[in-house]
Amino acid sequence: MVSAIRTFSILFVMVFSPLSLGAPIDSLSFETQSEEDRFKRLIEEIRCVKCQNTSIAGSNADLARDHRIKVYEMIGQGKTDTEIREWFVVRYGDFVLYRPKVDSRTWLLWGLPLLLVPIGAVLLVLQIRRQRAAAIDEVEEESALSDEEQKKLDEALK
Amino acid sequence: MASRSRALLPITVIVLLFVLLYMGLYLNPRHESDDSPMIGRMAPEFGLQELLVPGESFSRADLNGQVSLLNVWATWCPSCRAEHDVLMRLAATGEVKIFSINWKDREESGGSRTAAIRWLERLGNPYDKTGDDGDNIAGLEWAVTGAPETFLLDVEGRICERITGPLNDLKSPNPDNSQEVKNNVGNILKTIRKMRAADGKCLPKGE
Repeated sequence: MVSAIRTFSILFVMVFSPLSLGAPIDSLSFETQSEEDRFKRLIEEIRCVKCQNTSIAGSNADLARDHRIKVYEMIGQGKTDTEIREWFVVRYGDFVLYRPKVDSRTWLLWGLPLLLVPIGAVLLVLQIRRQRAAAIDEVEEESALSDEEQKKLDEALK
Repeated sequence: MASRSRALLPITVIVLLFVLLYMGLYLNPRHESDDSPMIGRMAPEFGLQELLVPGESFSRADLNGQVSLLNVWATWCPSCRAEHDVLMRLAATGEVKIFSINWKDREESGGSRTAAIRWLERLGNPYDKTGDDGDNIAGLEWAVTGAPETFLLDVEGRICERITGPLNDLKSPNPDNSQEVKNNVGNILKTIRKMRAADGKCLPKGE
């Protein structure tokens, strides 16, 4: 048990330490914990426009740093999350958000899973019913007596 | 027969998925900057110190009154060095005013203000005015994503085009390379001449 825990903790450190070492560090201080939480959430949601495949939280690019500082400043100025996201969208387009807004162009993207889940559920129920019916038929067929068996039985009961 | 068609369905689905994967591998993964939301908008307000003339400024108002180019450059940017010669030749034609933003030329990015001044003194100055934007203040308003980057502006200071990457003045840009065609100075000058013929306004899309 002890060795299992040890192995696990070593693995844990090995797996996660490169992430923490690679993450960029800015020395920013926040008034409240909720402001810090908002900052961390927002920078995960905003794409680095320089490197494109990471958020500004995960990027070491110079421009990503400027963008993190911009988010920090806007939080300090009392801007809402929506206003901060809008600041980025106005400049760089919807592409800059990792969680696209729901609008006339994105409703299918957001709605399709909601649509597919009930369809899948109906198909699943139908399939289960069909299999169950087939299984019952099979059992009835097997347990039913053949003509010969029936004849024997009738004779025996005479 | 029924069992065969039942087996065919998953195989068809898998083949289709592979076709999609194959097509996906050949798509350009980079977001095309041509559809930047900045295009068609009025240039943002900004005010910067002129890099070479102490006490003078370069601001939004300078963009009014003529078709112009606004070039974003930095001394730490190798492709800006190659582009500089192209800009010198373009400026020599006298066909268009070229403004510039010297972007993020600070020690933390591997440049400096003095390096920027020396660059223009040594290599020549193709710009009518250059704003010192070492701290990326105007850069954020213009939504600059990298250097070099060039904006084509109309007579009222509206953004007609955003051109990312270095400009070139190749006699015959490779037609298969859309960036080389778009960034070609000859093609840009053609657009500018058409704009002048249309009251200096941005051309309608697709022209």
